Amino acid sequence: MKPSPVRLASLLLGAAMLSLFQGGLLAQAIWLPSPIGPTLTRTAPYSYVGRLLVSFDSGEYEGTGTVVRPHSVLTAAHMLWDPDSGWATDISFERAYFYGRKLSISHPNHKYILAGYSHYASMGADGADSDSAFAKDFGALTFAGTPAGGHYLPYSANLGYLNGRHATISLGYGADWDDGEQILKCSPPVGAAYAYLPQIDGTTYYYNDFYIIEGGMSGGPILARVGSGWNVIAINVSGDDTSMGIHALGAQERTFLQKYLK
Amino acid sequence: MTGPSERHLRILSLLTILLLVGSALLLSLTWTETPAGQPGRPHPLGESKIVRESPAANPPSISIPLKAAAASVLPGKSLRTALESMLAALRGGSPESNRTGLERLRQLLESAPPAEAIAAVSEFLKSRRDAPTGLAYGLGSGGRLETAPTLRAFLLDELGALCKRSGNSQAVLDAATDVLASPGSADEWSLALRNVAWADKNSNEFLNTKFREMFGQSQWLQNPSAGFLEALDIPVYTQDAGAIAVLAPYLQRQPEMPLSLSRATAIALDRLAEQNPLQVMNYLNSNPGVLSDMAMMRADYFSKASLSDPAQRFALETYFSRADVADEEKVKAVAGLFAPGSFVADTLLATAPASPDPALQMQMLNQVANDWSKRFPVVGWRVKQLLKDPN
Repeated sequence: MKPSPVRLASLLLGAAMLSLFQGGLLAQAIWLPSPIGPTLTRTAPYSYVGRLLVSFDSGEYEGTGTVVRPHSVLTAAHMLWDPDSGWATDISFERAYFYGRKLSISHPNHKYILAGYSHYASMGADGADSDSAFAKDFGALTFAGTPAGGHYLPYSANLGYLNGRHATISLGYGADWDDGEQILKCSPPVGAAYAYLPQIDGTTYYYNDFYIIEGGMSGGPILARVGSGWNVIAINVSGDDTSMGIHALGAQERTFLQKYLK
Repeated sequence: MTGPSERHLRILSLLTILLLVGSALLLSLTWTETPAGQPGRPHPLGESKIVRESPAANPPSISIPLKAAAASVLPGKSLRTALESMLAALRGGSPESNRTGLERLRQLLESAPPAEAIAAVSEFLKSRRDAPTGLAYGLGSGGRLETAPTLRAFLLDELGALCKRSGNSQAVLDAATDVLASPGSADEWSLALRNVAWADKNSNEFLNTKFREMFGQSQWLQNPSAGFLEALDIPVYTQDAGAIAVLAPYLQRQPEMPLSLSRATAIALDRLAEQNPLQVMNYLNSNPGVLSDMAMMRADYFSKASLSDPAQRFALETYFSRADVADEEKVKAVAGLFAPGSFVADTLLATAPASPDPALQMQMLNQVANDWSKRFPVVGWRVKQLLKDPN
């Protein structure tokens, strides 16, 4: 869990409990993430998700990544770079990690962040925990080897999958009120009422207010049912006491993935 | 009774007349098929669907494409009229209608003879008239603007592209000279500097000088526009290690300083180190006080070194030998050698450099491990540790 840029603080637990016990104050239920167990963890599509451990000058943090190309893992930029200490070090990606067991452990040979000067700078303009910051929160790792033996989860840069009419699931290693040792999953109902909404017009930063995620799930995938399989359509980047934010894959992200990830 | 030769002459005359009439009809038909010549239909610039569905999205400049019908007769006048119409339209348009209008104008300019388009744009820029578009300064691929905040920014972008394509450097340099003569708009400066770089490959010294002038403008530093921040790509493009001295004071976030400036500076320094690792390392070794308060960032810049380049390896080893650099910083630089980082995006000028080949870098790290263990024990220990177990 990386507490600084992520608003997924321990406040979430209190807020979530408040939401559950004082549900009358809220228009609709808020779903909480729940563990998927060891068997599903080793089964596709979950088996392409892994625990991401990184170090900054300020300490060690946990997040989540997904194998989206034979040699590449997608994650949140705030897992890879910090404005005070620069690039993260000691990075390991533990695929399908579950209480000490994992299908593979990989160490990257390159880190990438999709960020131009003014584009990423707005992250600083409004603060690291701002909406504009999370709108720019997109990164990836490349590896000499293949974290999943050359297999990977396909991605789809199609914002249409966020319209609520497609089954979606959000995954990650929740480490706020869970222990960060297993994959957690949110699978909201299908229906137009459960559409993700744009948080900032003109960006691919979306949110919903019907489920929340924990710290540690940062960088984890939002998958959409596409045909008989699942595609990565976004990553978890933020959350607060009543909603969560995702950075969806749009045209710019697709270009980034095609150009830099192997 | 007419003789055969007279009859032949008459037939020939008739055929000639028919041919002339036919040619005229054909020519007429050809003209009427020119999209710009069809009243009620936009030039192929925009989507007619948009026009039908959202009349409000089409400012008065919708007439621009129609006027291009006269392009073959009075092309210069048509373009000038189009620019005037665009100026008027922007003053009352919504951002979305402005975007549509500017896209049409872009296509009109780029489909016109370059010399005429360049002349029209240059003339308009000289008039110094302008209007906001309500759109952001948004960069797309190839250093081009996808969206421009003002009409002048849009036209500077167009002028640069038109001149680049046609090889007309004088017009773009004239316009840049005018813009860069005074600190008016940082957005315009960024585009003027990009245009100079495109037009004159030997302009690095000029670009570096102007970049420093930008950082001398307190009003720009206090409230940096997107164009100002994008101009941080100038020293990256010119690979100007000397710019570190200009940028370093802005890397560490200060209460009175916009955070956006700090963030963009961090990206610029990282990209500069990636573009020109040798000069950056040499500069930092020669100026030990620079970035000493941002030691972990400084370590990142040394981690861009390619060990297969003897000069870069020497510069890195000089850094490892420095007593003023803490072991923690050196250890971080070592970790970066195994997995460097890159900020990638569309920028004004600089293209992403090739990072050191990871396989070759690993080979070199294996080679230097023992040597470094003797000369720089902490560094060598960390290299061996990472070679054995990357964590």
